[in-house]
Amino acid sequence: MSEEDFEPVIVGFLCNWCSYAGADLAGVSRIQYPPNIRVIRVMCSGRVDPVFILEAFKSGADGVLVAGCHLPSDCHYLAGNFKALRRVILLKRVLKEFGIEPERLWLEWISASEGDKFAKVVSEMVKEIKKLGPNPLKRLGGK
Amino acid sequence: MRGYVKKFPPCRGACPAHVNVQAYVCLIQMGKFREAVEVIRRDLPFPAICGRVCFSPCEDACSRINIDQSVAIRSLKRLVADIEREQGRVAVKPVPKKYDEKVAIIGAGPAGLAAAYELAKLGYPVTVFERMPELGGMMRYCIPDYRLEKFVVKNEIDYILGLGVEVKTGVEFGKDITVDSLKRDGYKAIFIAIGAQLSAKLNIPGEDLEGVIHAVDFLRSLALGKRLNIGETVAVIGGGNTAIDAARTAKRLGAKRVMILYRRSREEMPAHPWEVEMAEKDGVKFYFLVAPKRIIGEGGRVRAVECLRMRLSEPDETGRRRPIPIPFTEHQYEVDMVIPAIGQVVEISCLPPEIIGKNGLIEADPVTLETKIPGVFAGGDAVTGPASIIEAVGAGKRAALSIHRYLRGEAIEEERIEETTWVKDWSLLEKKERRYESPVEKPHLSFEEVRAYLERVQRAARFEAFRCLGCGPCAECLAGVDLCVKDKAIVDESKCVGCNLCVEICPFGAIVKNESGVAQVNEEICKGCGTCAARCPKEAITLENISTDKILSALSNALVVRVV
Repeated sequence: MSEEDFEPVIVGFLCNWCSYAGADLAGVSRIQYPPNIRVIRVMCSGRVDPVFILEAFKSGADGVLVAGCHLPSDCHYLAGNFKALRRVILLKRVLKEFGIEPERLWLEWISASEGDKFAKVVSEMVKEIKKLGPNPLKRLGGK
Repeated sequence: MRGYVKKFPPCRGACPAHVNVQAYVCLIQMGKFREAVEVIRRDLPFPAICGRVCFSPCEDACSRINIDQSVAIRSLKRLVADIEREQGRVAVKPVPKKYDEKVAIIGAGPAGLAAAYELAKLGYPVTVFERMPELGGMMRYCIPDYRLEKFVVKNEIDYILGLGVEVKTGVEFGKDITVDSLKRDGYKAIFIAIGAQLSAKLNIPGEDLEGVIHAVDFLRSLALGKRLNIGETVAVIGGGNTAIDAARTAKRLGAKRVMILYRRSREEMPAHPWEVEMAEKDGVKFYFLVAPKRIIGEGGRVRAVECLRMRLSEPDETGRRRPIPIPFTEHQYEVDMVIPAIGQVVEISCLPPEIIGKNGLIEADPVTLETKIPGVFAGGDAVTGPASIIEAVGAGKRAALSIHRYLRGEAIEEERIEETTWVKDWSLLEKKERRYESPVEKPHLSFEEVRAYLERVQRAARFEAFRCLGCGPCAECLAGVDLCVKDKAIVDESKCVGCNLCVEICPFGAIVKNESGVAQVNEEICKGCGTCAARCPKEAITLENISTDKILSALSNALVVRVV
């Protein structure tokens, strides 16, 4: 599979209050962005259990995006985004041990009015992950 | 439960009628315009009217003002109300009558109609008595057409009447009906909302000349369809919103020169600054620090106003600067018409004497609106003096609640409402979108273009709504499960080991440990964020809608459609 043919699958965990609304706004404003992202709505980026991210990689996702409200005070649950930040930083170290490039896991802060930023993040992410190639677990004959 | 007090976000707290601003702005964000109107109607029967002429205390209170500008709440309200009117409303059904006690409401202004609306929704048979041929009070008769079209008022009142409110027009309180006659007719509670209908007098010589007409009478006779000969030059006396309305109306009727004479300076004007600005744009001239001394007539008609110059005193104890006349500064303005607009007073001659207060207003409890006569309540301008529509609606709602409690034999006391904001650090929010500038082009367009234009306007509204910071927690728009995930944490007691981690991590303090050391979730406070579920080491906490299983299955669904 050459680099041009490779279309990465990205799982996006978007928080209900900011990033999901931001993605919605991108749609409403008809901003173009690559269709590689699969959106899963969670109530808060703090809800994203590291297990979910690992499960996504295990099932063959090429990238995972966790998006929440801006630091520090935009979180609807006051500190959920800090918890997400903490977990993602730790998880990036763990991912390296599993042989997954930490660059596949992205954490972004996207507010409800930043539809354009959401589109930009997704297109950048697709570009970067195309450079990295498919998920190494898939190459090893994983699911 | 540890100290759970229901708090309103600042916009809702500032609104005298406590309209759930955050909820409808949130619905506009989602593009749910119809639902937004329904949410407004829960607290306020006049979304289109208030969307046009409210002085919007909510916008002054808006937290966003600390960053750039407040959210354009009033314009959003007007937009959704107009969209609803254009698209046609779902037909209103009369509310079934749950109670037998008849309620009489005197005066079909904003206060009376709001009370009728609330009581009709509760299921009382309500009758509204009105002296004028049309309903609406000051909204119908004294707000000029260029600010509030008559069909808008009619449309909103039709909604209230659709709920099953009975109306009797052409009935004068104090003459055709009295408190006693109403009680004899079987009305168990009476709400007096007669407003402040009479103009305050200038008490200067020449006030009875032809060509002197008080602002409220001027606006009212125009609304009744009378033609007035206003001449070339008009002087309006006073600095309130009514003065501005009268001046701008006179300008629109074809007066060449319209001037406003005010005895203090611009800063002290009680009119809203944007109204003053609009009047200046219309070409109204302002003369400050002048007070009329007498009106000079010629052959029974006005020829000129003689004025004295004033200066302002140092601020007194109340902080107000009183105007002091400067002697020997008499000067004259040649005019064809004089419109005094120095305030309105309550028509107390029709009222029972025991409820009249010292200052010429009705005396009523400021919170419960009870008067000295049991079963008689009063509110609106008649109690507070001339104020605004939204304050009258607030009074009507409070009166409706008091009447309901009075008739049900409950204690007539109000719930305490605390105003607060949840946003703590302003400097970090500066990056958020600034106000969206509305498109300047006018819709002189073809059908296709109009549709595109409307789409753009609606999108602009959504952008504007997204500027809302959502100062409160869940706004309780109660739009239903499909719009908002209502979820709560569920503790599996057999798995819980009482490690206390969830109690510490919950951002809302919704979890406590009970006597047996097991975590317990307070469903009222729980927002269903799932942070506790992610934290729990024993997987004892789950969520119904956004449970771990559901997220994991969503994950595998997302990955099924592989692009390989």
